[in-house]
Amino acid sequence: MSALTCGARADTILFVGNSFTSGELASAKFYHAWDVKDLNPPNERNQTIGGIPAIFKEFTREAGLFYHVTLETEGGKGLDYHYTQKLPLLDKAWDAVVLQSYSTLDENKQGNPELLTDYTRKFDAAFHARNPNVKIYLNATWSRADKTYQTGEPWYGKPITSMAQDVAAGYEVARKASPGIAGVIQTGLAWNRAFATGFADPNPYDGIGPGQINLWADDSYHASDFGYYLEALMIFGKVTGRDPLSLGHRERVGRDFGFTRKQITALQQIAHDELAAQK
Amino acid sequence: MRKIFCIAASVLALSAGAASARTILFIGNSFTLGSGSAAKNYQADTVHDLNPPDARGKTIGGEGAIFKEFTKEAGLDYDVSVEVVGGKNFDFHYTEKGQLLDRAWDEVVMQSYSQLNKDKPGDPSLVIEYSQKLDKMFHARNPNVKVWFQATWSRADYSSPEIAPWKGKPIDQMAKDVYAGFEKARSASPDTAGVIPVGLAWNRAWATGVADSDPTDGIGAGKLNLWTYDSQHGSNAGYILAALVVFGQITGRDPLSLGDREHVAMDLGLSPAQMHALEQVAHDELMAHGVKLAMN
Repeated sequence: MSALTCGARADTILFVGNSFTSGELASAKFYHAWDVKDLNPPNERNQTIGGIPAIFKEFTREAGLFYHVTLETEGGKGLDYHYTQKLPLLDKAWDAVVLQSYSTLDENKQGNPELLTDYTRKFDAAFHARNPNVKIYLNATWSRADKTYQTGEPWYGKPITSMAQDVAAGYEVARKASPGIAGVIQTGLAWNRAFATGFADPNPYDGIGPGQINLWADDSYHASDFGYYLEALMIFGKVTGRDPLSLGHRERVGRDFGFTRKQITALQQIAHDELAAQK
Repeated sequence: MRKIFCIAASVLALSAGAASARTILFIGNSFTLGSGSAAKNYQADTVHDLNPPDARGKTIGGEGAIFKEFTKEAGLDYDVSVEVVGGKNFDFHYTEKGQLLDRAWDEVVMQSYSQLNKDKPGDPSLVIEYSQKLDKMFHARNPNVKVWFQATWSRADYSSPEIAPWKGKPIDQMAKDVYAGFEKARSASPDTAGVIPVGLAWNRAWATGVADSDPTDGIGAGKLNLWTYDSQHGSNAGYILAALVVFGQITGRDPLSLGDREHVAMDLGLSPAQMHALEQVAHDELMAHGVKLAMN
């Protein structure tokens, strides 16, 4: 009996995305890279990516779950690129897949979900052909401060929550058009919640408020370790069904990144609340 | 046969590498360890941690590993060892870890309790006493060893009684006092190589507006916070600045020679502009101390 339990097979999960999945501009990028499989070749320094997938892997380990984590990331790319250029690497039977596309939905038509919808359908068909039970999630990312506070940008002058809402709505369009998609992970809406609760500063261009954290990196575009941590908590909660709060205030990734226990709890609470609101 | 050959070849390669590399030992506590930031476990596999791994099997990277990466990028070959224990001073390292440390090193960087003495903040007598012992021990093994003091930064955790003497004083005062304490230790141990002005470089980062000197009212637009959450230990940026100063002092290479797209900065999430600013601060601080810096 115990041998059977021990032999319980691991779930496989594939992450496809760009710099928002690889953890660009934060120490998340190469975090525990040895713990996950990067389908792309190492960089010139022989480094492979850890990023969000490695954080997810650590969370699942702490939760007593067993996942084989694989990733395929390419900076600045959308799902169209991954499908047309990387499909031979990806076209396998997976138990779960997390797809993350361009931060504005479409690099050339910002805010337009057509391309995302189109390639979500294609991926949905390809993955389901390999495993009819695969669970495919779409990871809807955050508002970019640079697209909101800089003149001439599409979300200029709008509330900081606006871009994430538009991105979330775009991913919902893609999900509805592809009936095989298991759900949308509302990472960007979790960021909005972090602004609303006052935990995170909504505008990095005028400095960071006392006791607040910055979810963005120095470019006000990518995420900081805090931002990526919140993203990984959302994915963990959605994919595994476990409560992010169950990881506890001594959660190891948070400790490795230098967060306080209070900050860890606050981020888990935000993810918990956002996941609960989505139900 | 092939197996035996491979082992022989790898042993040969290892000893050849060890012979050419300069050995450097970092002694210190949580400030050298990189506590409170991702620097702590950064590239731990590139340095020798003389202490055993933690409960999760992790060893320390910290300042030693950042230094190692800098030297690698500069085309220099250093064999880096670290012996760090949180909250400890020179007396602990000498009495408890002496056996691990008592070897021939080319360079040693020693970092003491952050206010020089845990019970008597600002009092350098314990540091002076044990740096004499450590210096003697290292020189007995290698008469040409360079023993450096790393004078660390001002703390802003004013609720801590440990730094009571500096409460209400300008933020740069504690670093100046710590530096002055080490100058005394250096005079008392004339064979030591010098005091590395890490804390004074932090002062310069505040004075030049690169970093925010008071996190209690938030962080100013475009500024770095050199501390982590406790306003005591370093953030990634704070530790990188510390390592840049150590790198410039030890190797004589200009911190600016590492360039804006330096690997540690990219790995730990600093932008090219932020890294350039920190390199400039380290450069300026070392120049102010008369350190000769070469671009290659």
